[in-house]
Amino acid sequence: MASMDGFILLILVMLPFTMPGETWFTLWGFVASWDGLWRALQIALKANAIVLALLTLVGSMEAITLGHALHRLKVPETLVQLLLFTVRYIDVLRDEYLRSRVAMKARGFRPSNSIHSYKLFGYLVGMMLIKAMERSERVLNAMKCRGFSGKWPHLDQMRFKPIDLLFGLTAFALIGLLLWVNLR
Amino acid sequence: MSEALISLRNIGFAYLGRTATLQALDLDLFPGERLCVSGPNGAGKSTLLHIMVGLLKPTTGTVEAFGQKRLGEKNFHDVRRRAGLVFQDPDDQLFCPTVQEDIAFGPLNIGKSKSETAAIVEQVLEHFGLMHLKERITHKLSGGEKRLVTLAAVMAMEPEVLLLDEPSNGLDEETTDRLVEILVSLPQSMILISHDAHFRAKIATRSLSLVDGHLEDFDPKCRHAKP
Ligand SMILES: Nc1ncnc2c1ncn2[C@@H]1O[C@H](COP(=O)(O)OP(=O)(O)OP(=O)(O)O)[C@@H](O)[C@H]1O
Ligand SMILES: [Mg+2]
Repeated sequence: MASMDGFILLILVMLPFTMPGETWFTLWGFVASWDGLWRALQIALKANAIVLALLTLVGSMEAITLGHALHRLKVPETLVQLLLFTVRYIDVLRDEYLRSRVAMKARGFRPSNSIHSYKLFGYLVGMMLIKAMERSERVLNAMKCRGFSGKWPHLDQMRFKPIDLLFGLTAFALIGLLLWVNLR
Repeated sequence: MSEALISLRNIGFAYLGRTATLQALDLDLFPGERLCVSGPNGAGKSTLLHIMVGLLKPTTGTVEAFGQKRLGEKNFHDVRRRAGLVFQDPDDQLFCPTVQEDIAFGPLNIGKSKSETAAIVEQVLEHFGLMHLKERITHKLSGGEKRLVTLAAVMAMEPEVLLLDEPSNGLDEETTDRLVEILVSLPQSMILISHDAHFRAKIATRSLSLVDGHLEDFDPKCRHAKP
């Protein structure tokens, strides 16, 4: 959540200055408006509410379950595979990165603001990209060895259960209630 | 002697811009054999297995598998199904999110139905004593568990020949013993690459070593290691 807030902070700070309206204060000749402030607060609250809802609904789930669920919901195959491969290999890549960092440290490298440091980080990033590409080739080879020919087979094991219906109905009822309270 | 399952003749191979890795290499694998190949790092052992299933194209020579000359990519589809390759790095091979999906990947690809596949998954996991890993997520397995699962995934395709690239790598003694037991009990012919002399001694019916780009009869340097 902090990362998202960091992302929109700039917009929030700018908004009071860019929205026309009743003057709140002036800073170096720029006018900040009350309307802008309200709008900024609204956005901040909304964004955080969305992220909180997402975290409780999706964040507590294995990313892989999410992938399978998206597949069941008929999200395009390519996107689902992209998600699943990312989940599968992000740790492998991270381990490779950390191993390289440890290896660099073990040989006395300390990051500093020097050409030498930047060059080494450049090598590190370059190596990571090449390794990732080579791995993707090896993974494709492994897939071919097991009869892959472009179409991904699925062992579909998710079922729509009564409990899902109950959850769906309850969620809709709550959202309906909120809407009603809002619109009344 | 009966027909060879796989025979390589006069194989030469070089990676782009490098000197030849394999040169004038001949190899025959006969039914019922467990052939161990050793050789220094970088000798080209993994390369050799990849050539056998057509993942790499040799610059010279011919690959004959299951009684047929194999040339183009199409020709090798059938070889890859009948000769199961277990890769050196399990992370390359376990690309599916969960263990059961990974094992199911092969059977589903060769046209087994979902219920048949589910039965195969159960049976293979049972055989390897890996039932407890069925629902686990592949990238969270330990190195040794990954190894065994890759072997199980290849066995699920019911190959006639096994090509194993350093299968005992990263296994503890107990698990290695279990692997030896499993491999010896299998009816399949296999080619095993291994740096572990004791492992080879327990499994091999024949040993070769890869030096200077071709295969030679194995001549043991360590007195514990019998060919
Ligand atoms: N993709 C590649 N591109 C260029 N050279 C490669 C590539 N893969 C391997 N090589 C080189 O080819 C040679 C043989 O590699 P190979 O992986 O077959 O060796 P190996 O016998 O399996 O070694 P190890 O015992 O370390 O697994 C090595 O010198 C290696 O550096
Ligand atoms: Mg190798």
